[in-house]
Amino acid sequence: MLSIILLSVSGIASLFLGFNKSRSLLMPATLLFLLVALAVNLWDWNVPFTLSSAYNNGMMTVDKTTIVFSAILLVSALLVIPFSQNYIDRPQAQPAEYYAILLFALVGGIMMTAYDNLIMLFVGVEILSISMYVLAGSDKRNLRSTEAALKYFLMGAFATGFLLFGVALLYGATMSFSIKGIADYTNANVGNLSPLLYVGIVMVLIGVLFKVSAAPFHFWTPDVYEGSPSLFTAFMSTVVKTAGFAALYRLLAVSFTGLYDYWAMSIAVVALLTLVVGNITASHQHSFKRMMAYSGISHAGYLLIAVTAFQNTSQDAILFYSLAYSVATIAAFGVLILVADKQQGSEDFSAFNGLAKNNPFLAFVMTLAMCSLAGIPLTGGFFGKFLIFSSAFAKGGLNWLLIGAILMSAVGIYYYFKVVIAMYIREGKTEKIALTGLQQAAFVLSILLTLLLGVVPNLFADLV
Amino acid sequence: MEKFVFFLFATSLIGGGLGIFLAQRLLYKAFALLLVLLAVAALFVLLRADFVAASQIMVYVGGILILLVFSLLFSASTHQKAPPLPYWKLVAGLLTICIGTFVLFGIFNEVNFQTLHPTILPAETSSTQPIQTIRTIGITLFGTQTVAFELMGLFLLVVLAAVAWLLVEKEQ
Amino acid sequence: MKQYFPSDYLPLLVQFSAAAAFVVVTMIATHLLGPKRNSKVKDAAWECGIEAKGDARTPISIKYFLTAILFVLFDIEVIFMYPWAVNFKELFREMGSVIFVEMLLFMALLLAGFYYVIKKGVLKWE
Repeated sequence: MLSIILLSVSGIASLFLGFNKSRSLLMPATLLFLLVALAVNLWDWNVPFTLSSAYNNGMMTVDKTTIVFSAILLVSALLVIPFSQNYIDRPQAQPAEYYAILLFALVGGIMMTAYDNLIMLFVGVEILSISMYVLAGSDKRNLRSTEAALKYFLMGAFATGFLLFGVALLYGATMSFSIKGIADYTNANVGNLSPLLYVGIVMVLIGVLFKVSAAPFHFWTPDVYEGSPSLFTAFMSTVVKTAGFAALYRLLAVSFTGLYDYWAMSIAVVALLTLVVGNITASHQHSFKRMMAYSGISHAGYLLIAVTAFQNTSQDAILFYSLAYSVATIAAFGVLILVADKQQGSEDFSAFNGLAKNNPFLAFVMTLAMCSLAGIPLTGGFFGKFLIFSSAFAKGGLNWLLIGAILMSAVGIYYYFKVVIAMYIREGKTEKIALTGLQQAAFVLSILLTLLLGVVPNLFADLV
Repeated sequence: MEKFVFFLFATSLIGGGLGIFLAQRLLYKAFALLLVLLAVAALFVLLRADFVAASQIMVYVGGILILLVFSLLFSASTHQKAPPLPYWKLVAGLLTICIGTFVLFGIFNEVNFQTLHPTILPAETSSTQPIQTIRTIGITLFGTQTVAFELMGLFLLVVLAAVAWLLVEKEQ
Repeated sequence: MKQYFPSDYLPLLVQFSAAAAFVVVTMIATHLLGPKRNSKVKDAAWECGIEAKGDARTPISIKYFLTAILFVLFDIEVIFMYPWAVNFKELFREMGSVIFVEMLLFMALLLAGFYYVIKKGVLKWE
C-alpha cells in the first residue's frame, strides 16, 4: 500500500524532473525511487502498515505473498532500468516520461498482485496496460513501434471490454465486487449458482489470459514485442506477465476454489495450446526478439500448468518461476539491446555471430539466461519447471499435460541454443562493447540470482 | 407508456447500429453512432440507472464522439468510402452474432432476474418505488472504495501525461 | 433530487423531440416554400470571383485533437465529482473532512497532469 503511494508520487516527481535541463539525474533518481519503494515494500513484511488495513475497506491486502510478488515486479524494473542508457542517449529521447510511465505501470502491477476487490483489479490492469500501450509506441519516429502501440491498444481495449463485462456479470450473480464476498456467495449457494456467474468467470479469464498472452489470445504478442523498443519489451514480458499471473492465481484461489472442476479443464487446455503454439512457432523464427516473444508465450503455458494444478505448492511454484523467468529474460534482453546497438539495430540471430570472441562476459550472461529459460539444471529455470511439474504431478490426472510440457521443453532447448551456437561457433565480428557500471551490476545481479535460484532453491522456496 | 418508450429507443438503437454498419461514408457512420449512444442513454434511464445515463451523454456523446469527428477531420477523408468487407469477415461476423444471440438467449431463459436479488430489483413494484442510484454510488465510491477512486485519478494523470507526450513534438 | 422515476425524464424527451422536430420542419418547409431557380452558375460555391478548387475538408492541426482529448479527460473528472457533490452533506456527516481531502487529492493528481501539460507547451498555439 505504502509502496503504491510512493511510486505514484515518485512517478509525478520524475515527470517534472524532466523539465530540468540536465538528463543525467533521471536514471539515478528513478533507481533510487525504486529502491526506496522496494525497501518500503519489504518493510511491511512482519507488521503490515496499519493504514493499509484500516483505511482501504477491503480494497487490497498486504501479506507475504503480495509482498513477494510486488518485490519481483520491483526487482525486474530495477534490472531493466540500467539498459535504458543507450535508448535515452538518443537526441529525440524523452527519458523523464519513460521513467515516469514505468513507475506508474508498476503501481498498476502492484495493484494487480494485491487486489481484494474486482474494481481494484480493473483499475490496476488499466493503469498497467495504458502505460504499456504508450511505452510500446514511445519510439515515435519508428513505424514498427507505432504499429505495435496501435495493435496492442486495439486488442488490449477489446480484452479489457471482456474483463469489465465479466466483472459486471460476476457482480450481477453474486452482488459483490470483493473477491472474498464472491467466494462466500459461491460457497453458500453451491448447486444453485446462476449461469451469469459461469459466463462471468469465462469473460474475466479471457481478459486476464489475454494480458499474459496465453493462446488463443496471443496473436498480438509477437508483433507488439518485436515492434516495441527492446527496453520496454523486456519490461512488458516480465512485469506484465508476473502481475497477470499473480492476479489470475489470486482470483481463482480466493474466489473460485469451490468451482475448480468448472474452470480447471479449460485452463489446462489453454496451457497445452499455449505451450505448443509458443514453442513450435519460436523454433521457426529468424529474429531473436521475435523468438523471445514466442518464448514469452510458451512460459505463460508453463505457469498455467501451475495454475491448473492448484495445489498448496502452486503459488510458490508460480512465484519462483516468475522470478527465474524475469531475471533470465531481462538479462537476455539486456545483451540484445547492447548487441543490436552495435549491429545497426539488427535483432536477428545472426547479429550474435561470434559475439564470444570479443565479449566473453556478454556471451556468458546470454548463455546462462538461455540455459535458465530452457530449464537446464543448476539454473533457476530448472527448479522453476521442477516445482511446477511436481505440483502438477501431485495433483494427479494431469499426465497428458505434463508429457506435452516436457516434450515442448525439449523443443525449447533447440531454439534457445541457436543463439548460443551463434555466439560461440559461428564466425562473425563484433567489437568490444563497453558496459556502464550499472549495466555490469545488473548483469552480475542477474547471474547471481539465476545461479542462486538454481543451486540453493530452498533459500527462496521457503520464503513464503 | 414505458413500453412504448422502450420500443421507440430500442428500435432507434438497432437502426443506428445498422446505420453504422451500412453507411457508406465515415461521417454518416459517426452520426449513426450518435443515435446509438443517445438511445443507449435513454435505455439506461428506463433501467433506472440515471447516473450511467448522464455519464453516457456527457462522456460519450459530449466527448468521445467529438473526438471521433475530429479524427475524421484530420484524415480529410470524409468523402472516402469504407472499403467493402471481405466475404470471410462477413461470415465470421454473422457467426459471432449467431453464437452471441444463442448464449444471451440461453442466459435470459435460465436466469430469473427478478428473483436473483430481491433487494436490488423489487420485482413488480419497481415502477412505483423510487430508487437512489446517485446516493448509492456516492456512498460506496467515496466511503468504502476511496483507494480505487484515487487510483482512477492516477490513471487519468497517466493518460494526460501520455497524450501530451505522444502527440506533441519535442520542444527544441 | 435524490429519488427519481423514469417519468421524471419525460420533459427531456419532449424537449429533444421538439428540437428534432424544429430541424426537420424547417428543412422541409424551406424546401417547399422557397422559389426554385437552378442554374449551373447559381449552384457554384462562389457565384463570382475565383473558381473553387480542391476539397473544403483539408487536414487540420493536431492541436484541435489534443484539446478535445484534454476536454474528454476533464469531462470524466467532472463525472466523478457529481456523486461526490450530491452526497457531500451525508458523507461529511459520516466521515468528516476526510471526504474533502479525498477530492482534493484527486484534483491534485489531475492538476499535476494539467500543469505538466502546460509546462510541456501543449497548449501553446502558434
